[in-house]
Amino acid sequence: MNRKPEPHPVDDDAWLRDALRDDLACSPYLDDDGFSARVVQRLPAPRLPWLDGISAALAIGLLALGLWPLLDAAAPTIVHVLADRFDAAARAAVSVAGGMLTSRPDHVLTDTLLTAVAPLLALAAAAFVLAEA
Amino acid sequence: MRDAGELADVALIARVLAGDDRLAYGLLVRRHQSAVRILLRRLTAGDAALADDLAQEAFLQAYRKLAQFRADAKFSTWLQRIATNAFLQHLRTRHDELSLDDVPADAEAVSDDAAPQADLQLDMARAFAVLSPAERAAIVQCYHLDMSHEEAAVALGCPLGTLKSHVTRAKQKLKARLQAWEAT
Repeated sequence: MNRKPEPHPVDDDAWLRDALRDDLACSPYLDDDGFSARVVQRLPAPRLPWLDGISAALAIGLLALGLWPLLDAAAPTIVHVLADRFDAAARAAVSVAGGMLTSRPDHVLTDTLLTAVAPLLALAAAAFVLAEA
Repeated sequence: MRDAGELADVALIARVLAGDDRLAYGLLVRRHQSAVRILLRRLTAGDAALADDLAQEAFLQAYRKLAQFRADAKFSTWLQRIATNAFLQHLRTRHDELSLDDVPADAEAVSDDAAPQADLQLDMARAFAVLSPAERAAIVQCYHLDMSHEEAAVALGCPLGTLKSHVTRAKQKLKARLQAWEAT
């Protein structure tokens, strides 16, 4: 958008070209009259670098959680190392969610949620965090 | 003087990019607001309120795209191109109400708030008012912003031949309105 302009084709309207250039160059200066302040007020909220770091870490974590079933199928050995940590966290989270749905612990329900819904939710959350970052 | 100004622009841009410095961006806006608003008044055929709204939008877009600005170009030219695009975008979003090829009904409606000695500016404003939006945009891009016909056609979203037609017709209309200035 801001690359160097190419030479303009030669034409026989030099006076018009000069008039157009003089038009803007010699136009009287418009007083700011609060214009700059209004623009600055409408600027998007400032970014917080530390928040970017947290967002990135959160996105990576959620992506890993969401992709866990794939990793589980493709690379069991890798997953085996990571599974304990994610599994514990995910089970704890789903158990809490399950506890909100039913007063009785139901392992079938939590397992279903864990294997089907939780990864999808994690992927959606990761996409949201990445989009916001 | 101009070089110093451009250097200062670059320094202010660096401050904005480094630390989201709103004060620095406010200084940039204050420095360039007049040129951008005047350009948009030309494009909007003297509609000062619309021109200022579009100028605000242009400066907000420039803030979001500031990291894309390359220092080998003049910041003022970069801003004016964004402002021209804001005008074109405005026309496209109001497609049902205003076509790029519509010719204003009342060319004399240009506000006469310029200084009395600014005869050329006033005549130019009145001459611009008889152009269609596409013709105004084509002239601004090719003559004010030094864009090539190819670049202007891309920005306008029209074939090169159409762009050339816009430029030719616009020049004929401007010549007819500004004949008195040809001899000077």
